Amino acid sequence: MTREEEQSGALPTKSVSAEERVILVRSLLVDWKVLEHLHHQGLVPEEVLTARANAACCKPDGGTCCVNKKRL
Amino acid sequence: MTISNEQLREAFLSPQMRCYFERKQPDVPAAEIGVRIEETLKFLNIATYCRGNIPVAQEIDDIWHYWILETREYEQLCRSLQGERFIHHSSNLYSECSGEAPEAMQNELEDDAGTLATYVLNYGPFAEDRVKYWLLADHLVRNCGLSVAQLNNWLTEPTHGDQSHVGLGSAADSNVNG
Repeated sequence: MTREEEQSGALPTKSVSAEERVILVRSLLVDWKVLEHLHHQGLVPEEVLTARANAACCKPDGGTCCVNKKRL
Repeated sequence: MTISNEQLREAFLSPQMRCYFERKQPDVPAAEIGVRIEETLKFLNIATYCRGNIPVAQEIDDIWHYWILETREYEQLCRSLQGERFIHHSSNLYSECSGEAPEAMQNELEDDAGTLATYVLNYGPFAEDRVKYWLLADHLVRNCGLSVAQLNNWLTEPTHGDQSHVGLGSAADSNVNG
């Protein structure tokens, strides 16, 4: 917090931290797991899932859709 | 301990200024003008933490404009707000005329979300009738299907909320010309 921000007025306020801002945004975003689940429920069409390849999605196991997939 | 609407009025709003706002906007019911003044004060009292475009709707910007026109009152107000500094106002139109690219004037989602969380931290949860005055909050409720309770839950406990189905459109970067 800058010195300017710290100057308290008649009714002092405070700000959320930079880390809290990051958490707020992350908690709003939909990830691929959610989309896969919705796809299994028939709520999301296949075309949406194929976007993963274009987005260079990388699963931890180097899944087949990923640009860094494991070469056997 | 959060700051109440009554505390805001007592600390920052004189009867003369209240009268002035009502005369300036004769078509708006007095109670609604009161709400707009309170939301303007909430914004200005956390403005020192805000970056980029103003996060509030045109009605709040209008109140801000009227306040600025009463220069002595505005200067006095700024001195008593958090930051104790003169809060400058600049319009997007002016930025455009200065050659700034429109995309450079868009807010980061982190900034807008942080402003809403700062609101709740200092003033308590959003009341149903005030959501419309905060651009991102209004977008989430009106366009993304979030209830006001879910909105408040997200802003106070982002990792425990049930708002994960929400998808953000580009309106999260809404701009307001001052």
